[in-house]
Amino acid sequence: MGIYRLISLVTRFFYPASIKQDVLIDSLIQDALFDDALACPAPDAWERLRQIVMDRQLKHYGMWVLDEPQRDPPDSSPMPPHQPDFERARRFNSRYPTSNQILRQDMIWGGLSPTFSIITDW
Amino acid sequence: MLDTILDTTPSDGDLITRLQASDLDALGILFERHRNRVYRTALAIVRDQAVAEDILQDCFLKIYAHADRIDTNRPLAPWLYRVTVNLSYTWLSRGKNRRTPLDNVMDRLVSPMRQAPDQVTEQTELRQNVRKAIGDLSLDQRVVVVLYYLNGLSLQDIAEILDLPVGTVKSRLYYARENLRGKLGPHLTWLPEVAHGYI
Repeated sequence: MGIYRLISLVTRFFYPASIKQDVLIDSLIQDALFDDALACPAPDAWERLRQIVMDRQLKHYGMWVLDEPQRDPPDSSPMPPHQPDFERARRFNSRYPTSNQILRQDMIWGGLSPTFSIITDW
Repeated sequence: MLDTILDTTPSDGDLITRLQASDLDALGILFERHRNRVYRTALAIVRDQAVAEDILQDCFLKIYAHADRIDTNRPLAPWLYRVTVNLSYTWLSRGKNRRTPLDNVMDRLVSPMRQAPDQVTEQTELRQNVRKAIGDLSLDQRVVVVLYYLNGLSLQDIAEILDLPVGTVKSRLYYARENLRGKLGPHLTWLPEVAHGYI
């Protein structure tokens, strides 16, 4: 392949000579997009948007886009529990329902009696 | 009378200026003025009505949130198209386009009842094939096809919206049509309406 042939191929790839009018393909594409050309958003779209703007007070909490998860306002709710930890704690509580009571009793007796090291050193 | 109405109709720039002062009514007028083009563009790209609705909302939320930074001397429509395309990219890149929306299924079931059954079957099938072929195009090519054929924008306008050289836009459109021609080849040969140029 000669250099001129290569240059011409590259040029044609990036800059096709012209967009030739192909009536058939043009009409098929336009026909296929016809439904989209007539589509309208839901009638309550504006009301929904207005409500979102007012609810979120967008000016203060920043942009809400598809990519960005919704954030709580500053100083609102505490952080949600980490899911595996939460699940483990829930399972433990359901398996040993009295463990919390035992722990509470230990804490009470622990406050009244001397510690183990004091007894052994004595 | 008409002149009076036209004079009193605020321009996009005026509305953006009002929006910079948090005038929600200005956003409402802008929404009424541009909602169809945003929604239709998003719908043609993502092929999902619910997502197109969300993109419409997000697009105007973006106008509201960034009104301070919008240049009121430049036309708003190209910026809206760019935001719509970007939001569509974002949604598609998250891989949500794999599910089949129920509305599309309903549309397939209901729409053929408008015309005679035999014609409808062929035309609907062809239309479905073309829609599928457009949907199978690469995203770059699909966006150019939508902006060119659906919105009737010039190559220069599309180049400005996508921030690309005109030659690149022309190239994408050229190869999009080549791809469509290649994919639709078998379907185009047997349909008499197409063969005789009636479609």
